[in-house]
Amino acid sequence: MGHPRTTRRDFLKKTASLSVVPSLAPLLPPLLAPLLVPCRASAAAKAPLRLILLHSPFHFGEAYYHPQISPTDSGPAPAGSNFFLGYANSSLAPLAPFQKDLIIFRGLKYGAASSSHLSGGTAFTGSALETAGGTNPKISGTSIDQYLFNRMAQAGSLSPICAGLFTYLSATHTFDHSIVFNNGAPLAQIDNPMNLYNALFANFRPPTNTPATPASMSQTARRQQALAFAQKYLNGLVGQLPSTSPSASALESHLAAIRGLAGQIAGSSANLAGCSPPSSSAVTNDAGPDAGNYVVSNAPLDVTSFINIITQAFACDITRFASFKMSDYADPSQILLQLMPGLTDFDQTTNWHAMTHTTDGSATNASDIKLAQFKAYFMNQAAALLSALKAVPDPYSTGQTLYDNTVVLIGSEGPVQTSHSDYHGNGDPRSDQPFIIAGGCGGYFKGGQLIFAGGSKSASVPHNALLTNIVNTFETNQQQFNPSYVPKILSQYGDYSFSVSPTSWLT
Amino acid sequence: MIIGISSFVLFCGVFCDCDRAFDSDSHDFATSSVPPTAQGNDVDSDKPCSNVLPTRKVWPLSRAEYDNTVNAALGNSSNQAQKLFPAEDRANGFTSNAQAEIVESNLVNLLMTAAETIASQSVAGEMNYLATDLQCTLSASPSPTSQDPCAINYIAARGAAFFRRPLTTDEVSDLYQAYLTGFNNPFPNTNATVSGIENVIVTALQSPQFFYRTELGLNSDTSSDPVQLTPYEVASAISYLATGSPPDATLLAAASSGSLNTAQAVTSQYQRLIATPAGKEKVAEFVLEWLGADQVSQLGNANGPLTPALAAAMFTETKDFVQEVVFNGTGTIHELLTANYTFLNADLAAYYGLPASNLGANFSRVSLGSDTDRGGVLSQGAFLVSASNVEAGVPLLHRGRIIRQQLLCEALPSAASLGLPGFTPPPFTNPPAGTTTRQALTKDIVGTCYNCHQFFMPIGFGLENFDPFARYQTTQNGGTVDSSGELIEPASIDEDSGLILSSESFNQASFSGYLALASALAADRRTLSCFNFQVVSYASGRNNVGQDECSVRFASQSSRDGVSTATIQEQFQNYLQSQSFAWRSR
Repeated sequence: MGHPRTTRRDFLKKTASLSVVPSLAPLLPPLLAPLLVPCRASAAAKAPLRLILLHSPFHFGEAYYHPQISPTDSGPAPAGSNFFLGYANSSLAPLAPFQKDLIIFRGLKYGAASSSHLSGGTAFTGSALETAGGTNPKISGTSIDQYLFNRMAQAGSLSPICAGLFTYLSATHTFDHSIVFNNGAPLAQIDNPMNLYNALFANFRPPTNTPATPASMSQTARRQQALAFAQKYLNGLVGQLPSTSPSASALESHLAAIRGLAGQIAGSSANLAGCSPPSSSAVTNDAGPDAGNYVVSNAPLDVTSFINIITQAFACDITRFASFKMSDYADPSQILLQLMPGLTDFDQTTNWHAMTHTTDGSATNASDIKLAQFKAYFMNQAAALLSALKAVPDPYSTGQTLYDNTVVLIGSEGPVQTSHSDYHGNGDPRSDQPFIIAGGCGGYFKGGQLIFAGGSKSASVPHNALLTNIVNTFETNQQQFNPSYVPKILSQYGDYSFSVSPTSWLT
Repeated sequence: MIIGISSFVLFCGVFCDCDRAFDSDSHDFATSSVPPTAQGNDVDSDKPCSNVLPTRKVWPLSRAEYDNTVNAALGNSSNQAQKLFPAEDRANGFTSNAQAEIVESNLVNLLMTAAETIASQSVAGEMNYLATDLQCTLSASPSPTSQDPCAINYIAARGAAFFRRPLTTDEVSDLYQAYLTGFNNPFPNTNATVSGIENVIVTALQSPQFFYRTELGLNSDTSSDPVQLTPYEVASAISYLATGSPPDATLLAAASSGSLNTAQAVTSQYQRLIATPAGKEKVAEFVLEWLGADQVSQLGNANGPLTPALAAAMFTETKDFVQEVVFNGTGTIHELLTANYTFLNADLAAYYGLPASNLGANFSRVSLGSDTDRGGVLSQGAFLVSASNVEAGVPLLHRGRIIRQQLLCEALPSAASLGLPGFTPPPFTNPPAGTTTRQALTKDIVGTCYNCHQFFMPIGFGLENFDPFARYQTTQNGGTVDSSGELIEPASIDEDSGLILSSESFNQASFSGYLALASALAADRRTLSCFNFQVVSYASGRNNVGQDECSVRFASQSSRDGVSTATIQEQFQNYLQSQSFAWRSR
């Protein structure tokens, strides 16, 4: 708030040494002080362009979340870059191929979350909880994907993708369980891949890949005219309302969305060589509206469809932000069994939620092994997403892929459980949340690290500090974003001063 | 939201003389041309209500309303919105409550897709409409400067159906430009004039005039405060409330003639529409959404005892029951909660363990004998299952919470308000054989836990004879079910938060079994006051109806006059006659 805007790069030029650390120390929370390290951003570092938020249900067990020291030393790895993920039952083993870019955190805490499952999902993305109700946490603020979109959307960019897997099955589900919010309003997660596909691609024509034809030019003219009509009269309605009116705000959102669609229809100047939307026949369709009517047998393909859609939305430069809530505790858990045919010792009546209540964080507890496999399934999906991003050229960076310039933030509904008394983390509200940064992130972050935020697993550093770092990373891209903007709402993500420092604990 | 409702209900109960809140002679002010007074002078109470009118707003159509409006205008029943659009962001449980609805780019894309699909499906019929109804022929060479009268006739006629009011000159002109754009940039395999008409439809369906209902008053009036809704806005408000559809010709004619300017006229139109099949569906929708009972249709599980077919049957049971109460019964909330009949088919009766010998596949009204503990909407499967939170395995807790919140409009205290920030209830573990859930909870939930559980657990006990899947049970887990409980009158209220806090003493009414609970709820004034708030929330599309304080008090008048005689329709009609229906603050 009101901080003079100094880019990380500018600051580096001015300082370029550790000598700045002592002078900054008073600005930093005591628990972060042990993490102060020289900035080690690579010479090629630049601001990432895209962000994906991945949410997985339940908690992690200590024994199968924390990396080993090495393939031959099963001891818990210390902080640093020497750690091993591929051990038996490791929940993070699927991420091993991406280890050089991973940052695995311990010691972060959901600062504003209650102990309820659902508040974990909301806090993960940065929204503040006004009332941490058990089933209906009330939200204020804006989640990090929406915030970045609101600040940085380029012409023609659509709103962030909000995808969800099985998030409307339970009777108690409403959008209050969404993990993304805009000004306190939960946004709809699209659970049917076909609906998301239609929302993104039904009206999309890759402008540089498909030569304009008379038919396509006519379509463009008609659509531009229809959108212009809507814009004119939306503006008229906005003009009749005071700017503080919720209706005016909603209409402004509608207008912004129309401007994005109009820009998309007008075409993009990016190199869209990698833009190749899947055919609709390759996308699963859980017939009916998003609330219910799931085709359970589609489940594995649903995940694949969502991954393909997100990847292609990035490749076609339709949007740059996405969230994917891969279920939560309230879904009929046995359905998820059909996603994981390789699991053993389960039957169709297994209640995952009840099972997690019998974990104790140890390596020998049978429930912990099951939970580790369960979580590994979701990390497998994260790995599939990372692989998909690696396979597609970046529209803005020759020779690079989407992976290179995307931040994938992996979060979890519950924390890392260390003991039975720490009953799936709820007994110690929201400390030691298992955050993982993946993806190339523009080379901005120092990957391949195991970090103990605050110096220990129990340090309880607010995770908002991490979100602040990510936000600030995006906003250092002076070429693309308004450099004079003062990030007034960064307070929602922690203390702004935490992340403007070049000695940030992430780089 | 619940806090707001609770605050008012409790505040009113404590500080107001609610019986004298409104002068019964002042009821006819809904659409009066005289602005309501700023301070609610018609309120005669120790603490007059603030008479804060709701502010002007726009209100997006729900998916069902969108589809109904398309169907009314074009005869297109393809229900594109329900196929394509994300489910509504329910507020206070109601799909029609649009307070939190945000249109972002995903929906804008889908609006375009839906518009293009509907137009493509409908344009052939529209060409017939031009030829047979409007009896005109479109020019083969329309001019931008000299408008084609046939196209203009079409735009004016269909535009009024799309926008639920006559079009302005600008709108006609702009839609004519849409016609020309379509004419000059034809759809594939479509001739120019047809394409022009198709593009008018596409444009209109993506317009805010179609997608939003407005409550703004006259555009030309930029200074009046409060603002009276226009006759066409009133017509839409009546129609969407009563039927979920746009105003029909009769209602539009009333708006056009200026005859909607009395409360009697508004009520009369509402009563006409509510008696239609669509109106009866809407009444049932309100009750189902109020109680969250509509969720049952999503809870059928091929692998569980509640099959999709049984879940659908439970939905039908409650829908038919509500319509019977409202349109063939006394119409009272009392009957809704205590009626000794329901609607069953053979499968559902057998599932419930009720006699099914005279029943077939269709639903019939069935009297519930004195030997059954069922009766009223809360004993029907739709509510029992939806309110159970089956996964958690402790239905009595969740049912009690929902009764407390949805029927009594009372908030539950947060852990923080009880001095327990971050408190997490311990997991529920299945009790040993021979011990019921109630027995286990009663034993385990003591001390601190009871500070909160006391507010909903004793109510939930009354439904213990119904398992999470709505089957009747006299034993559970080998133990004998005890369905006696208590309906506690809160005696200690935090005025700031509206939360019920633990207190030293309670006035509490004991009941024995579900039927006694239902009777107690039906006779409790909190139920009726809460019902009024739910009606206003549903009818006004507002989550926080605290600002409608005066209207709600007004609507509550009849409830206070007679708890057992207040009817459901009357509550809606009272809202329609209130200031909050037809007036807005700027």
